[in-house]
Amino acid sequence: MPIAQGANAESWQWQLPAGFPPPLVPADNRMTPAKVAVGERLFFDKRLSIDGSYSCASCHDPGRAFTDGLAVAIGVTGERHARNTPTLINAAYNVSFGWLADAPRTLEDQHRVPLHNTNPLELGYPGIDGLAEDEVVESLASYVRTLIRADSPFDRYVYYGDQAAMSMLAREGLELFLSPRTGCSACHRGFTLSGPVRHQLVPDAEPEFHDGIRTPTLRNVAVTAPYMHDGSIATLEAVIEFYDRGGRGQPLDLSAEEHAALIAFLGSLTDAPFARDDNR
Amino acid sequence: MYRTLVFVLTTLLAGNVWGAGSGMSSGSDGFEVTQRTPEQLAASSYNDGLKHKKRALSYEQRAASSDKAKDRAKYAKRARDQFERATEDYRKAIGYDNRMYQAMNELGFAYRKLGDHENSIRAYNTALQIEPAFAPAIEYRAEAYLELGQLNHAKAAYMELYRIDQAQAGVLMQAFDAWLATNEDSEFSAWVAERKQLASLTQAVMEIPRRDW
Repeated sequence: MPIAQGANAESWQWQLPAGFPPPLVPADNRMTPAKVAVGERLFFDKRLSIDGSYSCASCHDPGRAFTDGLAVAIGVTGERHARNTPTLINAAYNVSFGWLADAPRTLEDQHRVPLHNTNPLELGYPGIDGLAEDEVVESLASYVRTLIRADSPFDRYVYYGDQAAMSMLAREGLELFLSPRTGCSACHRGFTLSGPVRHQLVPDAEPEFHDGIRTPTLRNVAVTAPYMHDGSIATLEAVIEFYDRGGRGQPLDLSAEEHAALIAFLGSLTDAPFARDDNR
Repeated sequence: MYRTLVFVLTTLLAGNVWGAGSGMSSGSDGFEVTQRTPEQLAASSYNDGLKHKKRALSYEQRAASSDKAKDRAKYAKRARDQFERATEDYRKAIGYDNRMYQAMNELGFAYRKLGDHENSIRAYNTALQIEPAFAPAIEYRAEAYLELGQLNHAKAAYMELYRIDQAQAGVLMQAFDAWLATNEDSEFSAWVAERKQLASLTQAVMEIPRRDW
């Protein structure tokens, strides 16, 4: 599946949602339609795994906002990963990838991780005839960089003035989310609601998290259960309860209606599903 | 923005007038301007129009702050004269360069100030056909809609500006406030209040963060 010669000459036209800037693209991996098309095919290609049973989509399922619905990822040999699978939607804007502070900073570097990680074995990339690993990595990164979406009820209400898009309860939740009282938006901020900040964990957190963890996006959070870096909280309701009890700081003392309002707001951050072609 | 445009156009003009190969020839009688390009002539006329606009707005302010009816009428007439001269300049600019959407936008503004909303909106529409995302024209046209009481068009313009240029959306919001100070419309008033609150509330989730930890 070689990339057609001359394809790099084509320029990429971003189709971006309101309020979204063009993502940063490394100078040595410019976007082209051909590269993105190859990357999309590779994303669903099980030849990427050692036994032909796994592809990127095995963990990053488009039907689940590119997550897997599991507490922690399971590698190609059935081993459990230590971390929850993050969504790839709007990953192009991440400040880094993975959960840790020293994680890769570009999608290109990140894509080498599942190919070669042995703790656990994620894909066990065996190589694909006729395609250099750099081409695989650059194509996959280019494709993932295109997974940009923001057409949620929140976006329709805020950016398009669609009054019917968000319920009154969800609007109350938005106000609460942005209030100093809950402090949610101190970390989950910016157009992806992820922000450039790290969550500081409790003092007895695992040593590798002492520098904090990357704040994940809250877009599509209602369809990416379970939650937290280790998938330890099963539902959004339980996450809100966790923070209400004190979570990382002071208790919030939320009423039952405020709970419901926050849940409704988080639900309003769900985009229309990506099309899924099961034949891939 | 306009100052920048004027600067750019002036620089362009100066650069071409004084630069090598700019349509100037040096003979025994000194330098002689032999020819200017249509783009240079358009820029020159456009800048003339902006000068008249500036004077007109100044006269409008003086009219507004005058105590005597006679002075108000005098300055209002002067403002009108300046806007009329501005329309001539912009039309001239467009005659030289029919893609000059900035001149069409300013022509729309001058027409609006002269009370000619039909031609005003036509000029804005033409500007936006050439440059659909030209936020100043979207904002100016919305003010024309506002004056015509076409509030749904004005609201749609606000939402468009909110998506592409929040500073211009803020300018339009000020115009909405001014309109509401002299007009009554409870539905529009509620909409404006909600959008203002939302704009203020959602700043944290609109920002574009730096890509560092």
